[in-house]
Amino acid sequence: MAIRAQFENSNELGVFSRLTNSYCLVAIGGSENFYSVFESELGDVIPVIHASIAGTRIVGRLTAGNRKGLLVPNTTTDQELQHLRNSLPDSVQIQRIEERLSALGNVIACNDYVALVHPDIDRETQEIIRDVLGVEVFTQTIAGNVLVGSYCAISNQGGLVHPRTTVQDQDELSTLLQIPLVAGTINRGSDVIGAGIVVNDWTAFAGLDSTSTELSVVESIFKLHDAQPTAIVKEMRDSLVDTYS
Amino acid sequence: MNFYMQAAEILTKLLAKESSIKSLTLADNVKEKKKMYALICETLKYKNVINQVIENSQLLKVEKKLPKNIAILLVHDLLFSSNGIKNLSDGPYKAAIMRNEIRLRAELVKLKIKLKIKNNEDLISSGYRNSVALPRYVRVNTLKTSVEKVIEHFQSEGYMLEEPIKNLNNLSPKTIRKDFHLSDLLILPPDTDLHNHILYLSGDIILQDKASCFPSYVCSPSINSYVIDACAAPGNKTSHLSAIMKNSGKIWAFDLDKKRLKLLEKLTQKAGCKNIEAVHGSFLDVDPLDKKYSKVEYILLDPSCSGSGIVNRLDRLLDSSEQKTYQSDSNQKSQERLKNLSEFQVKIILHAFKFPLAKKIVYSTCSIHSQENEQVVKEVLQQNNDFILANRNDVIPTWNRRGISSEFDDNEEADKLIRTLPEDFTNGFFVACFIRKLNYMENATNTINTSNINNSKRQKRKRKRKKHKKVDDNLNENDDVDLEMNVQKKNRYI
Repeated sequence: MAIRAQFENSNELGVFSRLTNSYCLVAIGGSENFYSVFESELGDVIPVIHASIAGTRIVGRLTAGNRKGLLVPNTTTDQELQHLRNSLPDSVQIQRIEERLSALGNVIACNDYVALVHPDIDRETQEIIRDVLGVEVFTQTIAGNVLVGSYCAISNQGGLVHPRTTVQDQDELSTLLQIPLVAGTINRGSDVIGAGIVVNDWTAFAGLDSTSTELSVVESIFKLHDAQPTAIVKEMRDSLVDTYS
Repeated sequence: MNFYMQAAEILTKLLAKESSIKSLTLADNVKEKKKMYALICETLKYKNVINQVIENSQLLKVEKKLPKNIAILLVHDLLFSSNGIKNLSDGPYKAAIMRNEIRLRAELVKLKIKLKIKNNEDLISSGYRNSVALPRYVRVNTLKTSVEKVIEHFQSEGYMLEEPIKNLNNLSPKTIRKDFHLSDLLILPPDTDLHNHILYLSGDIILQDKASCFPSYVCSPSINSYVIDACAAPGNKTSHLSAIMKNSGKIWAFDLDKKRLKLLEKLTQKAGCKNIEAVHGSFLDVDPLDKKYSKVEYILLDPSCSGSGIVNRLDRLLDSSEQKTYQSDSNQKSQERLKNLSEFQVKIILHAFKFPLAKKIVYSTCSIHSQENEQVVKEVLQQNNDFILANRNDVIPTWNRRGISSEFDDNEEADKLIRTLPEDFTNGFFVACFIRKLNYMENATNTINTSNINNSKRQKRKRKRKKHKKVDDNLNENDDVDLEMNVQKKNRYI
């Protein structure tokens, strides 16, 4: 299911939260209403961590991460880092990186296997991304925009990219990521996809302004129709039964 | 890092077309020749891709101290070599490449996606991939050993003897077979490396393409005859002649290039030829009436040619990128060059015709252009009255690809010529065999006295005998390496 939500009258959910398959960061000091949207959906599966980065609440734009790791900018305080360490599952690595482009969420878009990064990102940073997140790193632009994290949202199931992405670019990107892609908008026509939606393999949260058309595109490309954390097991069982029956 | 530095130097020279791949990589100052050869060849195969990857990744902008050619080589090893960059030392260049490893690998993947390609091998420029890999031909040096002994030797090394076949595609590795047309020729699968083989080092076998065995075979001088090889170096055809003559008689081998003449002496000595006298100088400067050469009956002409027939996969590597731009403006140039070449070829044949006793003159080129082949033949036939083309029966009648008939008024003439193409699993080649007009001889002799007629009859018989000999004792020449060098060097004369 794709769920609509709002953070203090802002539709840009992706700015204030970071969602992966093994944890969810949400900005500290929000309304209880906002937290409960996340917690009711994710609460018993993955931790929902209330966090700040460098004293700000734009955690979604400053961090990048996937199931295996979390990257935070060097402006993150020691206290915040310690809090994140304490709250994240043990299997998740966390790493603070020295990078001029400190809004990591804007310059890195990743799922559990591939990361697209801003072309000007440091070589050392690329190495850290590869090692901490366990992904292949590709420098890339999306529809001519270098801020790859802002203009797309990807999971292991599919991806939503900037509406002006050419068909050829979509083809190449989708081969690169090995997932289906669609060009579209969120929040009633906003092209800043990364800010408007957070998504993992079984759920998505989009801004309250998103139209039902946009949501149905989201649900179909990210395969969220009857997705549950346990869906994969059911899928496997079905194909096993098919194979051996 | 020394290895890569040297490799980079070689690459620079190659791209400037100063020399050939083999002569550079196998030069004396190269320590690890095999590695160097492999690296250079493989790098050239992927050159376009590597250049693109380097450009896309802006490697040279980020690493300002990295020379381009070293970058190309290191990137090749990083991306395409199974062992990665050779661990000779952790010099600054290697470090520079490793810093950019992720970016480089990513650019390669992106490039492959863009080209809709799955495997690295598909990146190799199509011209190279589609080129035919010629089988490895081995000519048995019958001066030193016999075909049976050589086959036995190979069998003892685990080679399987197979029946001769016409279609030489997909030869399985470690097999050996006799050639269909030439009895002293053996065929091994392509890429068989025999350069360090004991038989090759001892001169028992000679690595020589099938097509370049044809001229000596067609010439087949009789024992104790006198022969001139007009453009002899590097001496493979010469040693073949010597083997056919069973080391009897005398062969004068001419060449303009002193260095290559040395090579000829070295190679023919290795092959055990004792009847060859190497002469430094132009065949054209030789006086046909000189007493020294008064008994010469056979002349082998393998003059400079464009070399367009040579399936040189390696040099194609170098050209492929430039060809497109090159072709248009060089068309005129190459036409002019062809014209110059064919004028020279006509001249040299006509010169050979002047030798008073010459009865058989074999002309060959490794070109596929009819300007250098059929048209030259037509020209010299028009300009002289003494010589005609030998009948098909005397020039490997079993070989099916003959001269281009549209160049002649009558089909039969073309039928008397031999052509080979890469489709025949050999280099593109052309052979023409001229013989002195019989009735001319008879007429001439008639007027003088009748005993000469017997002479000419004896000659005919001799020729028949020769044919037999052809079948059971053929000999030698050497290696397409030399063939390449041949063309290059020869072209310099013109």
